[in-house]
Amino acid sequence: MNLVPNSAGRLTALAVIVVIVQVAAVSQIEVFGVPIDVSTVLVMSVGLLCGSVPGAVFGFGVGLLIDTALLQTLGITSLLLTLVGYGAGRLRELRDPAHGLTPMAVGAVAASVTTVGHAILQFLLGAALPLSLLLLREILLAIVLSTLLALPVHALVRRVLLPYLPDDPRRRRRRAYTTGGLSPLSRA
Amino acid sequence: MYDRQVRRRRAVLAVFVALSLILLTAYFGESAGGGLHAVQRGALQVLGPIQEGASRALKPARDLFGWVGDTLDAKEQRDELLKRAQSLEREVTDLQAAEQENQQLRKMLEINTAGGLERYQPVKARVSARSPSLFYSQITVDKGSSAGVRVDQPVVNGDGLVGRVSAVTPGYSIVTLITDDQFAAAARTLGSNQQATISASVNRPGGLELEFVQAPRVRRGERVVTAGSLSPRLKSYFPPNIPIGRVSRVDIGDGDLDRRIHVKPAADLGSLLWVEILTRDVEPQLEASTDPTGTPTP
Repeated sequence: MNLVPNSAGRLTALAVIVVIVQVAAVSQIEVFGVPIDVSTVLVMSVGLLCGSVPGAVFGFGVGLLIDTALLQTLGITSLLLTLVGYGAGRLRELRDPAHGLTPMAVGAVAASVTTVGHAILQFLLGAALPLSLLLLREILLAIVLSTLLALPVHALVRRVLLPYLPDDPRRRRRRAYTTGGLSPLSRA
Repeated sequence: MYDRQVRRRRAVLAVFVALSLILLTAYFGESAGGGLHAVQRGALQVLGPIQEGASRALKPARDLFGWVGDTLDAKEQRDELLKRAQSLEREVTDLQAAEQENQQLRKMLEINTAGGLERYQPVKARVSARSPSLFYSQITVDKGSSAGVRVDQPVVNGDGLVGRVSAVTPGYSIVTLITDDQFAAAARTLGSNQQATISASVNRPGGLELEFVQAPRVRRGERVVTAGSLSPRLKSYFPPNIPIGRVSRVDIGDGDLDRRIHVKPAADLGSLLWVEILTRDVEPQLEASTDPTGTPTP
């Protein structure tokens, strides 16, 4: 773990607050008939900023909280968000993307993984899942919404975690990159 | 060092994925009263008030976003509803028109059978035009001489007398309504049994007046019907006992010239859709009964 140890408390608080806000308010807001979901892009942002292990742990925790709070089948959201957090963290460790629009691209992939993965898991669990154009449209809209939300959510998470981050890609981008091609996270 | 970190990272992933799958399997496999479900319900008991509080606290923000979304949706719904409203409006208009026509046709059927007008060979005609001028109370109907219609034949609808044919072409006829100042007919009142002439009211457009009443015994609310012909030499255009209207007001005045007996037409002349033209002449033997208690057509 490359994070400052005290960051665990802040991540936990962030997870609890965001899940409560998500469940109590954000989920009830629909845009073009699709509820807004910030949890996926939140986990993606944590993974992108903190690395694969914190991302996976954070994803698991957020998923567990959501499944618990909404009385959903335990494990589904945890599994998907664990993969999202881990994947985003690995991208950071391997590529160290510093482009400003990286969260959008990663957010789109993360939203695709969660929405399609959710559908597949529900189907495997025997839920009646009508494969219709309407469903596809809603999946696409959910991905687009998450993509649009990725930048503000990422900025918020970065602001919250800024004191605890070992190195911030955006700050690093501003100065000459003299330490070589690898990310500070993978060098540690 | 690096290998240890990779192993640790992979182990963390494997542990959490395995944990998720175990949770998933256990939760899916157990009954609703199982341990995981109980834990979940207990957690909900704790999280519920927090969620509720957060929901209330965040309601303004939610409403704001909802308002934006609703506004966008509302525009789409408005356009859709406008289209539907237009479509329904047309449908309602058609239905109302059909209902109105149906009512008028039904009344005409009643007046034919109950009022004995069938013997005058009524010809149904649809009102195809109406004079837009205030000075002409005329309508055009779609039956003419080819259907046996001739000038001066009486025209009725389900409520009563409408007018008489004033001009005929092979396919169409012009009907002068009873409210036209050119119209006049022999009439009698039921109850007081007064013989008089009915004509358009000079002072009240759309109304009628009884003239030449022999005695001022007419009361308000009395029915006025056609008198028919009392003499074979002075044949009336109109069969007897066709309702014309009801006495709406009686102005006695100082003398005969001041006396005004206003009659409200029985037929709603403003919304005529179908009428009947009585194409058979009135025979002298069909003279009106002078019995004041005689029952008129409805």
